[in-house]
Amino acid sequence: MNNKRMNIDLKLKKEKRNEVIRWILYYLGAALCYVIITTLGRGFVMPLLLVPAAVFTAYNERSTPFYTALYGCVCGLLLDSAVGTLISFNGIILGFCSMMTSLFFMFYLRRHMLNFLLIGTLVTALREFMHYALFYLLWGYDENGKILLGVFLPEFILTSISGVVIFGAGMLLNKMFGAVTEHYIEETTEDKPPEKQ
Amino acid sequence: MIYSVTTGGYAENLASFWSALLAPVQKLSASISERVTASIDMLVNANRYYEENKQLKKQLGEIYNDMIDYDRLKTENEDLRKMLELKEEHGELTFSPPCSVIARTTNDPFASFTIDKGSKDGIRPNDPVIASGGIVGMCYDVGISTARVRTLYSPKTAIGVYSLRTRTAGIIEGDYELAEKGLCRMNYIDKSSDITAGDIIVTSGSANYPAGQLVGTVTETGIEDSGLSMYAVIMPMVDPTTVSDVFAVTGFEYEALPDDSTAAEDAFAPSKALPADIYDDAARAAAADGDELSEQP
Repeated sequence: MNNKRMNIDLKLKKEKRNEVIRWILYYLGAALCYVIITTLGRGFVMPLLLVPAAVFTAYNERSTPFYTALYGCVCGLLLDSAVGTLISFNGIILGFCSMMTSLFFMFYLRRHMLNFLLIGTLVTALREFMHYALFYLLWGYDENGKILLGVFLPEFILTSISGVVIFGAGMLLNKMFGAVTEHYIEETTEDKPPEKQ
Repeated sequence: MIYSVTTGGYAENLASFWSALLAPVQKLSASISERVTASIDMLVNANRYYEENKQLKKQLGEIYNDMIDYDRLKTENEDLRKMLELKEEHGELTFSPPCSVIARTTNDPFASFTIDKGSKDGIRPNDPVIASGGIVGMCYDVGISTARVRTLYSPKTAIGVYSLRTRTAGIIEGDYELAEKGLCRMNYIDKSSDITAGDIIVTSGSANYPAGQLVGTVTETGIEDSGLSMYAVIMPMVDPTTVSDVFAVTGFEYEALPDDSTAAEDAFAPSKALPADIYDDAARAAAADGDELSEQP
């Protein structure tokens, strides 16, 4: 009995340790994404890697929606700094979307790559629309249509596609530091036929 | 025998014949010997050569690094020297400390960037930013230690300018298609002006921009679609996508252009209406109807 109790304690401890490592790596990953999009995107459109990163974390850590909201907020603030939008513009959008994604995956959606990509694309579309509408469309520039087709559309497509890469990296992370899961096999006890008397 | 010993006798001829015969064999032998020696040497001293090679590679790497550092320092030095010249040249302007470009906005079609100086260095929103070649843009979104710079490519930037040769006035504005080619547009030019490609464009001076700052050169001119005014395509003197060191102008005295020039005052000069001669007929008609033209067209 004592041994069993000790094993459970050890597993819980390992699970907690893995969770902490995973969160540290999520934040390091966000920093890496920020560095990539701010240094490599000279002269061509770059995917906004921070968006699928926030969505993936929400998808992966669905049981802690407030942590994922905080993470989404941090990703959004980094994105604000990278794309030059008003500080907290992306922070609010990604924070809210991350929390909603967590809740969706907790209650309604199955954990599947296609579901993740679908939600990622929706979040990206929302972000791109808000950015375009509030920073360009609202101001009535002459060439809004060209900017939409030349900047926002490629950005949307690339960001959506980059979700696959982020998903792959996330799965690798899960493989190394995933939660320790127990598989229980429920034994069925067949009803014994009544003894003939 | 004495004769043979002292003169060589007939043996000399024999020796010369023999050596001629043996020469190819000797060559072959020498070459084989050299190769064998080299191979043995390689086997025996392999470790020593390996270490030497490693050391030389390391030294070469250090030399390359030094060369890169040297190039970087040289470029930086040249940039700073130009900046210093700029400061000396424009004594009437108050500059911020030299600013470095620390980040470029991702996916921005108008090439805005961030500099490493902010409000603690005296920079305020709308302060013009210039590099050694000329004007780059203006500051907006100023933080304590950083500021974002909106470049000449942005449609939000509007600077009153004039042509040095013809004194023709206009307003520089960004345009998405031209920004992709590294160009911007000078609008609202009087249709009768003879502005042509190659003309130099400078700022006309306003509350926001000091006068006489180099902007760029005209590459192309044309008539607006409305047919009422001209436009000119301008190649900026400084390419905002490659600039690395700039100054923000934190203070200057606003001087209007001399009266004899036809150049207009900047559209953004405080409480000053734009002169009607740079506007088209429609604008004049609107002004006659009582519409105010004191702000951005």
